[in-house]
Amino acid sequence: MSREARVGIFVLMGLIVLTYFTFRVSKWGLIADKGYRLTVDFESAAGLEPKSDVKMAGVPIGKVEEIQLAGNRARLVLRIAPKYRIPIDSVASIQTQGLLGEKYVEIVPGKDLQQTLPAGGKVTHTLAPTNLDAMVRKLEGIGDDIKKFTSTLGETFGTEEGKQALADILRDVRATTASLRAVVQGNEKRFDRILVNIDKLSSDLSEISSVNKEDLRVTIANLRSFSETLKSETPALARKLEEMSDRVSGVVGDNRANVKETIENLKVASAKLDNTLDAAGRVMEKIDRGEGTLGMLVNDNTAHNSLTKTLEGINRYVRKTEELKTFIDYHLEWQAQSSDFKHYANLRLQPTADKYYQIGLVDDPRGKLDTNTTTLTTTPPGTTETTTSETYTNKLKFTALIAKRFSGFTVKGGVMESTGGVGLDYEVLKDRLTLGLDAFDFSRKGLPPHLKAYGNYDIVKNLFVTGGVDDVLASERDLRTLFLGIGIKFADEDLKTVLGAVPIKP
Amino acid sequence: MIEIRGLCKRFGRKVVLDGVDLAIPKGKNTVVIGGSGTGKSVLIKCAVGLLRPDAGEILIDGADITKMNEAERVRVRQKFGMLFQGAALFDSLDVGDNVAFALRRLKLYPERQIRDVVEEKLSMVGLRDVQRLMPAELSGGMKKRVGLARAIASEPDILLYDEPTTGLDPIMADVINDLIISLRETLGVTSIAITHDMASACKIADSIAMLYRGKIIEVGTPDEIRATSNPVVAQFVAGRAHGPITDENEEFVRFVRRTHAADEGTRRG
Amino acid sequence: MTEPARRSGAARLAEGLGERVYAMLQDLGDIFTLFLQVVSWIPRPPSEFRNVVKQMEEVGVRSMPVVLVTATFTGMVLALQSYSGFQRFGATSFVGSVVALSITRELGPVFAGLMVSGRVGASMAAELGTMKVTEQIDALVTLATNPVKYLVVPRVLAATVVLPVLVVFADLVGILGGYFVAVYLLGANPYVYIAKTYQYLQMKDIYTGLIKASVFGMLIALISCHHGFIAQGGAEGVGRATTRAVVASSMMVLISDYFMTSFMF
Repeated sequence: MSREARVGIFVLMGLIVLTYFTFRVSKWGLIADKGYRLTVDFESAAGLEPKSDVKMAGVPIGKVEEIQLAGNRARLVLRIAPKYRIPIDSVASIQTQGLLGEKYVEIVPGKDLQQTLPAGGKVTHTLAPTNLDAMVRKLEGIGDDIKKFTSTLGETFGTEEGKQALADILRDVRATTASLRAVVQGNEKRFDRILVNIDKLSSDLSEISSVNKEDLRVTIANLRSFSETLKSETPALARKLEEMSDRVSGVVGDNRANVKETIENLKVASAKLDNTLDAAGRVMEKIDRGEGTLGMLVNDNTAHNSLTKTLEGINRYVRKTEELKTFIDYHLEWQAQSSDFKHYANLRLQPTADKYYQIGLVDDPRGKLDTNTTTLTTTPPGTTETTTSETYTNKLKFTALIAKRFSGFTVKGGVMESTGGVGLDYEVLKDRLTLGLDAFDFSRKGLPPHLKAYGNYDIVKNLFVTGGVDDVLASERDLRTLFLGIGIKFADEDLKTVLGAVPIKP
Repeated sequence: MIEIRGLCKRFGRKVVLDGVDLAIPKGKNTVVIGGSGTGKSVLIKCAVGLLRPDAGEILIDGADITKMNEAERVRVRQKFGMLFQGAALFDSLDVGDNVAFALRRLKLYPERQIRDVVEEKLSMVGLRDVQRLMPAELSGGMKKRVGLARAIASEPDILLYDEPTTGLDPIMADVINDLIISLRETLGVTSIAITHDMASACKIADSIAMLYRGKIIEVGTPDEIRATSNPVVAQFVAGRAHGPITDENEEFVRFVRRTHAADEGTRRG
Repeated sequence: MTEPARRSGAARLAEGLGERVYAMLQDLGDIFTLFLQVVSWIPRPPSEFRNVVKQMEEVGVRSMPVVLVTATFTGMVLALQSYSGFQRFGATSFVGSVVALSITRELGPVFAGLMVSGRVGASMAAELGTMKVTEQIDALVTLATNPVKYLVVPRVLAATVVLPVLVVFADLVGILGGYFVAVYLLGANPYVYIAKTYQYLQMKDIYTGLIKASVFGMLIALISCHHGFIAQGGAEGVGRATTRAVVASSMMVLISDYFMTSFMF
């Protein structure tokens, strides 16, 4: 094996390993653009980092992709693997795992399995990480309030005025129960959800308590002191309650008719509620079985799928026209071997971030090779001298390429300098530095393909420098050369400013 | 034509060349003789621009090499070929690549002709079929000849020989002497050789210059030098152990012994 | 009698120290000048492509075994140490992260740099030193070739390009070595280990490591070539130059590492 081959393999293998790292390390690597994004806002994202896990029921389903500040809240962008659907009423919270406090986003799935969050959707329900200590302090306050309330109550009912007020209250209760009937009919779903939330809360609480053992210990201590206070206060409290209930019974006795009517109303209301629930149940069953138009719509998977697809299609189209970008660039390269300048001008159309088309012109000072053989007959006669001269002349060449980007790599192919060619670019430092290899002109007479290795670096947005080795493989005829160059480039928004004209968009 | 005027060179406090004046005529062999460490090597290294003199002029065809910038000096240096004392062949390259070195660097021939040109240069120093050998495989005499082939490969106008016969057996030394003479005759080059080997000097020289204590003290044809009246030159030519050159040293040695003994005396006292 | 002797001893010491400092500053200046010369010679024809490839083989391909072995064992010992440390507070799942971050950011480049200093620095200084004392460098000049262009430029270019490649391999085998120890010897969960390895690792960690490696390569080549160039006095002088080159380039790897780390992170 030749020395060049050994070194070539060495460098190539290094690049392969680096590529492997790039794909492993850069967020999601090869499946970077698979999966969909969701956003969720929290009061604080303290402890979370990009690439933290997103879990549903403890199963990792994605990663945190970005953490931004939206207003004064933390906005997380989550990347969820495509196979997982998240119910629209799911609740997101930030949880801690293990002793060292590694944070992750837990999504407690909602009950609404029919409606799931679309790509780009937002998880609206969040649970702020609760501080148990603060909660206990609040409970203590509530205890105080209750104490105050009951004593006030006792005082209130002791007077004639109070009795009258109670009568009014009971009248109000009657009216309230009457309207309850109507309310219940419309809101059974909400109750349902409230129950679910309570359920969730208690499960969260149990989780929180298992994680925050230290906090819990303090909490329990606080609770103990609270209950002790309560114990000492209880006899007084009980006396007051006794007094109060005496008075209440007196009041009730005086208003027996009102109370009776109230109870009647309640009975009717609950019966109605029963009926309503029955009816709702029946409707749901029907929908489930696929009866009726709504049922068909809900249960027909094909209809649902085609709708989703249509929406996605529209989405993609809209995005496409929005994202089409135009770039114009011009650069010149000083070629060390011939001390000549090679000029390039390109137009690039970029419909999506990962794809572009490029057409361009190349003015190559050594574009055309002419070989002249002159034979001179000199004195003494019979002596001839043959001179072979190789001259290069200027030639204009054109380029037309299609390019596709995968992670940091861009694969190019098409016409390069008027011949077939392929190329590979690698972009680093937030795309400011491009390292690339172009191979073209595969059928040169007596020469290996034209291989160009180059690096471009954007000094500022519109100005870049370039450098590298042109025609790396050609060891003869001084074709291989170092080159250095500088160029300018404009995107369409720059052109808008520069030309003061309409945006360039097809 | 090389003309050296008032050349001075010091290393630290040690003055090596102290106003050397020497004219080297075109197409002739000039030999500079002198004892070891008298600055002969320094003189030719200044001439080729390997060392920068502290003062003085070195005119190569009328242009002063000491006042040139690096680019001009590189151009003038292409007129020179130099044979080093130990041949200084590049260990990592084979004989062929060694001889072809300057040809490739200066792109004097297309790559496909280089092998033939190298073979021709090697045949001029009496070697053949050695292109594939590495320098480590060569004897001292062969190394010198390859070094010579390398020095003449780019067809220089001026050849410099640093101790061309040192370290060779008398027969091989004479082979080298003959080569130097034949090169002058066939190529018509101007050459400067430095040596302390009087036999070699007398054989190859058109004129001989004696360097002593940083100055050229006598210039003449070999015959004139042999018949010199200067006692210093006479001692060197005859190779006598006693004479003005060594006397001065002996005086110095005695002086050292005396002070040393005095020191010892005081310490004991 | 003793008093003046002591004073002269102190004076000698001060003088010696002054000479050392002066020599060091001179070295530093010479190396910087050499760097400027290298930069100015790089774009000028003829291209030293073949020489660069030859040096790339010497610095890169031939240093692979020693760099790979070093990196593997570094990764292994890192896993071992951090595992036993983290076990005390139940954070063994972070061993993968610690190994990956330490190797890519710090230990991969530094150990590769030190190994190359020892291996390549010595051979560069010895080769150039030998060329110096046998007048081969003077011969180059008389053959229309600038020694910096012909000898130093290819070595500096090759070392600058090749060290990052070595470090990429070092990163890979270091991580694999850590994985091997953690999973097969200490019984860590392989899935968790790999997940943690890549979770906190960013491309920035790898790139900064590679940039460091590039600078190390350049420094090692420059320093070793400098010490080769100033060698004098036969075989012994070459030996001295070699020792100085290895010591100076190893030290510069560590010193420059600190400053680059403080600038980049």
